[in-house]
Amino acid sequence: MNQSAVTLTAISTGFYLLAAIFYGSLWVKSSRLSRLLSIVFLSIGLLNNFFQLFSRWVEAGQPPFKTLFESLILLAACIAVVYLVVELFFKARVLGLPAALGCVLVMGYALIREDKEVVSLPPALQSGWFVPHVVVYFFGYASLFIASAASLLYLFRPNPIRMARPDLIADDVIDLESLLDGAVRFGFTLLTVGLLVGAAWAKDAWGDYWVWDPKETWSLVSWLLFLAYLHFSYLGGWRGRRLAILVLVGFAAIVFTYLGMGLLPGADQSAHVYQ
Amino acid sequence: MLGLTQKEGESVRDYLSVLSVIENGQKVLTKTIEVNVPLHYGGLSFYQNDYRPDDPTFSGFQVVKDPGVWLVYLGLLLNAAGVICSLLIHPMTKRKRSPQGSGGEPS
Repeated sequence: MNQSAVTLTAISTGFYLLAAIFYGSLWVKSSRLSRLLSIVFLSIGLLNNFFQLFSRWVEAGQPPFKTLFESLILLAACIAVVYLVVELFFKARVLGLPAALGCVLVMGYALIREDKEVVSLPPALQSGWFVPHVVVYFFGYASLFIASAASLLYLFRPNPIRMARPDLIADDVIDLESLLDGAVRFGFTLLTVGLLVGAAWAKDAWGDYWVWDPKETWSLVSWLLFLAYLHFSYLGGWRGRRLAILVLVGFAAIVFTYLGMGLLPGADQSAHVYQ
Repeated sequence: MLGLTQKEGESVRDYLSVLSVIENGQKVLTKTIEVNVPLHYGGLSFYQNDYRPDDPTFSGFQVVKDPGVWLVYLGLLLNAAGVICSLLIHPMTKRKRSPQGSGGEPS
């Protein structure tokens, strides 16, 4: 058992949990102190999370994105980074609770995973394309997670959020609809770039751009769902509820693309599937 | 010819194939290729596409002639740039140009 990996993962989970508790407390009663503590705990969790990635990279001597455990560590960091950007630029602390809970869930799942040992990268993944391909995709996943958290909130509170006191959760009026639209556009851009980088890599390594492996097919499905979002919002005049539901459907496809591939036939032949 | 590199008790790190180009009976080039490192020669690309962990004498290759590939790469690049411009940069500049739009400055 890799004891330092377990300890570091537990520490990250703990700080993310503290952050989630304080972000949650903002929904009930907001004070200067609790707002400060929430972002401080999230930041400490993120710093420890970065240290996990860094130390594992050094220990393994290769990018630590091979096993599902390693990818969960990366995903938690991406969610925290994207949320911090949302908080610093848009003051949307209302998304702090779902973002921190997302980190707790992802990091907690990593904590109970059995595949914490360092394994060497298979030949197919030893390439300069590997890191950009994975990192771009995971920031895309994280943005779309934030977008779907905003969508879920929007379904319950469609009007711009202004609490009894403006500083209760938000410093200003939070328009969830424009926030989730921004997160979808950012996430979709990253999915697209990740897809193109993947195609270029596949051509470079195998001579084919696309081989219809299950992960490729499902990443195409989730890409098309978010393309439908853009299409219906730009050209179809869709607003509000329908778009929010479409985002949730798209995010479900992403979760399946990320975790569901083991259920499909042909997955064991794929360079994409976490064992 | 296929080579393996493996440390004791580890999974196989790499499968390698040594390719030689022979022109008019002369060996002009020898290169060790692997899955992410193809051989390019005379407009042809040789990819190591297949290997059998239990049979080190077997190697599967894909040979591709693709003179227009740079055009496709340019297309991928333009596609990425286009998405970034239209979905990220364009909305930002639009918001700056119309400050009287929906959002407004916080008081």
